[in-house]
Amino acid sequence: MNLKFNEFSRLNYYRYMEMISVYPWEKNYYRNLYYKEYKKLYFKRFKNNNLKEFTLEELSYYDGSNGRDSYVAVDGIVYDLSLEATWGGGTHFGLYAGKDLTSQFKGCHQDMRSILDKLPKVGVIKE
Amino acid sequence: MKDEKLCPVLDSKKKTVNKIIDLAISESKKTNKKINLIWLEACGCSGNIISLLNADDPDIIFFLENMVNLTYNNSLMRKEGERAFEVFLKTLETEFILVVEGAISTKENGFYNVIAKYNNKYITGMEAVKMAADKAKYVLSVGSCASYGGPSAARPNPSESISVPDFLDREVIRVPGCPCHPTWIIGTLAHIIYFDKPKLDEENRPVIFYGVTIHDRCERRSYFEKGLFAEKLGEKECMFKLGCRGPITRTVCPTMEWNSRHNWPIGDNTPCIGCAREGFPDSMEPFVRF
Repeated sequence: MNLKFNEFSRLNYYRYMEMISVYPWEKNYYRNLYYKEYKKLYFKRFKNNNLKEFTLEELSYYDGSNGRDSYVAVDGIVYDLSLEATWGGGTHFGLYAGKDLTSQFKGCHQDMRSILDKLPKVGVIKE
Repeated sequence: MKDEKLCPVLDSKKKTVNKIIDLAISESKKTNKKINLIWLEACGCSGNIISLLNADDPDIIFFLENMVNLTYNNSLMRKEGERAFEVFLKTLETEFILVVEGAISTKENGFYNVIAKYNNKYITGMEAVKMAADKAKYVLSVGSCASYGGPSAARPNPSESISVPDFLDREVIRVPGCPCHPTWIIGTLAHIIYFDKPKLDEENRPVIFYGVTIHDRCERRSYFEKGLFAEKLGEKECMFKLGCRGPITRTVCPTMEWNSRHNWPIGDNTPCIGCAREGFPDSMEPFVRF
């Protein structure tokens, strides 16, 4: 099998391995790898596309209630916190998603870019 | 024999648990001397002492008969009034462990929380905790109010309550939870009685009970990984989108469970409200997000 290991062939490979595996734990292992890869690709889609522009009004729709996505703007960039474990239901220590939380972020996390770099970016705030 | 060769981990798992149980039983038989215990209730709701009564393996009877000599507790002791407080003062002369439940109300010199009347003078919770903590061998703050302020110190905090570690200048072992699980209380006390103080994390909580997050060992974790979320209460998927605080709360609820290991909040279709976390309840709101 001559597979070039880019992201898509990796997906195919994991699916293939899951199919031919005999043991359940092995199947499970490849299935997990597949979903992990799938999730990565899913968010990469947002990175590659041109970033969407949000007004603060549009942003307020994504507040995490009723199963909606939860978006938060910091320094003019909109981040997707829907799958961030510390943001259950779009809330985080008394803060709600769907807002510009630049001052709150800096109040607690100072200038920790490492937190923001890990999050998927979905857009920018329209001036 | 064949199984052992196949998987040594499986076999050692059974042995580890047995080893710990045997150690606990042998240690409990070794020491005959019981240490005195003062269980002081400050500005709280008596929830933790009621939770302690629900203990099993060991149960409360074993705890009181073989492990400690509970001299003063407002809910369980037979004496009342000034005679009860005399017992408290008498115990201060001996070696004892102090357990505080409830936050310390500091407004008007603690007068919002009076726990006794002695010689026509009101004794406030603040005064009693200060008195006992100066002489105690160990101080435990049991419950979320004592450990972090909890509901007693929630907004707008009319009694100006603060937590016990904030109030005292000495080391306080935090055993949070609202209420605290009886096994966590007895487990921590047993470690203190039979060995020494248990291994603590940076917030002074015993690592054995507060080492991993609820999210780490949650029975619905696989739903989270697959991105399947419940949209309303009663569904079997991960309740993360309903505002579950499992990922930020460190306790062993998923493995130990409650009410004699019958069930626990997420097993019963309610999201975790983070009751053992600093900032409960204000920072943990809303408890359910729709």
